[in-house]
Amino acid sequence: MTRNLTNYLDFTAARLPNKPAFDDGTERLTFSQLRVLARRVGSFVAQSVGKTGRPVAVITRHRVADIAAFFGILYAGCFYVPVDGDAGETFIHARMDAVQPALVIDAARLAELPLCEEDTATLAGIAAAHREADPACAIFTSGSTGLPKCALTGHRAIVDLTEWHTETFPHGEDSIYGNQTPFFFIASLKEIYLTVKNGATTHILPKELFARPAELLRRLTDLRVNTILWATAAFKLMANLDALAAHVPQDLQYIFFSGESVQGRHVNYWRRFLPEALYTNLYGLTETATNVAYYMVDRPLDDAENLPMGRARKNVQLYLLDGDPGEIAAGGACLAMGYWRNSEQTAALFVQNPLQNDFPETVYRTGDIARRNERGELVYVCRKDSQVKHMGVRVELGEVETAALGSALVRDAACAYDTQRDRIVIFYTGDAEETALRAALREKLPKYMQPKRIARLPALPQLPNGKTDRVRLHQMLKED
Amino acid sequence: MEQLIAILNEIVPDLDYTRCDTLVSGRYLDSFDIVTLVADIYEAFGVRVPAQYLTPENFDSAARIWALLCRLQAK
Repeated sequence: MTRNLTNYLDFTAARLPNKPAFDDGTERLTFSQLRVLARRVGSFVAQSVGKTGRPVAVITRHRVADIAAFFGILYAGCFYVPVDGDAGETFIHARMDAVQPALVIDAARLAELPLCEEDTATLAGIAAAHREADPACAIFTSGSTGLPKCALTGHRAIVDLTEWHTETFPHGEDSIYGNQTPFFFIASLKEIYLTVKNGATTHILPKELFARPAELLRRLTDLRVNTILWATAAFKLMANLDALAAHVPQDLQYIFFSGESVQGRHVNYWRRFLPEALYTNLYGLTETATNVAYYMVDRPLDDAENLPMGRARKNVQLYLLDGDPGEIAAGGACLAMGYWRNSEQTAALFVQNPLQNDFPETVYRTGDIARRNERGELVYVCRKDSQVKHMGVRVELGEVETAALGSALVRDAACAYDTQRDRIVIFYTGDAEETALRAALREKLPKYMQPKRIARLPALPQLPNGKTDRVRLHQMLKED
Repeated sequence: MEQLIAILNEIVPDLDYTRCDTLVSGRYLDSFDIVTLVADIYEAFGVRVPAQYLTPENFDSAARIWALLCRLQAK
């Protein structure tokens, strides 16, 4: 039984030492090379940190080196906290302040670390003490209080995910993945651990390629990619740009997408070019080690229909709280351990199942409202708060507002999401120019959270009780 | 051309579109911006831009985009 994610790498490096594991176009590591490098990094981390169970931050670069750093940290018995290396310095510092990592590794400078040969005795001692409940990684997600939250995920949850994926879908030695998801998002766990468990190969696709769709799709053919686990936003992007008209990646057989709602027309578009491929809509969260429900497209779809989220995956229990439609709550081995150094938010969202009080059963309240259709599949209805999905990433508008208010450039600020144009809009009052606020937000927020439109108002519209009138803000978007 | 620059300004403000010639290669425009741009171009000019034309060569400056639109319109 696999209790620790490093076991996957140990087994596969022994079985398929010379098979390419990860390739970013510049650097490529076989399983054996990955293990050797990871254990050297692990020895360094163990020596620097001095104890297990501590957070080690990784400034990720969407490179093979990110993966080596992750496994190194796991070999050291610590957990990794991936951070977006393309974000501004203020943003990265804020994340470091929140985590207080024992060590920071910049994946771009992995080669500069003073690595020695692996310290086999130390690593063996750490491995002997592994427990499946040990934390493996902590991943930031947007928080409704305006501050980001960092969900701590254990080895057991990721093993559970990896085993389920492998027994449900044809992942194996022949799988060739084209990775799109940056490694600071939870969804990337799938490619990383499916690759290492099954001896597959992942090609890391640079994100600039997604702005050159014809070249991207040709690259998939050149690399013989047969499986993609993309953000729904990227899957839709190809349809919206009519990209497959330029090139059809004929090797693609298994197409997974997750992150937001998807309509029949997007799948129908892909199916016109790749009718034999298997299309699967995955539903998951940062707090549940990604996928908890899935829907394999098994019938003709109307262009206008929203794809169902489907049914709970094996070993996961999904409940609808407060009736149907109701809020989805998830329980099972998939659950994160909670939020790092945030007992308040942990207690608010990881709760006793409100539907029974006979025995202790923790569920995570997702905030997603869903209903069941006539087939018994879950269908997404809406959010119960001000969280939005922007470019496939979950964004709490409150966090954007907090960043603006914290800049000292604005007196008051309120965000709205313009669904017509898929953009975040911020309204503010104060003396600062729009360009000054934009520059400040560029430093404080990652790109996917930056408001596309910034509008200064003499005053924000208010309700009689003094709160911002958000309905009026939405009307202003339409009038815009 | 002014209309195109107005569209670009809506998508990514505060850029000097008369000078910038690395819109895509300099990552000022990301893939999502390009979707918006292609949709806005269709709305404003009635020109559809097929995916094989979505390259830095065609999209790295406002002038190049304009030249592409003229080529496509002539077709």
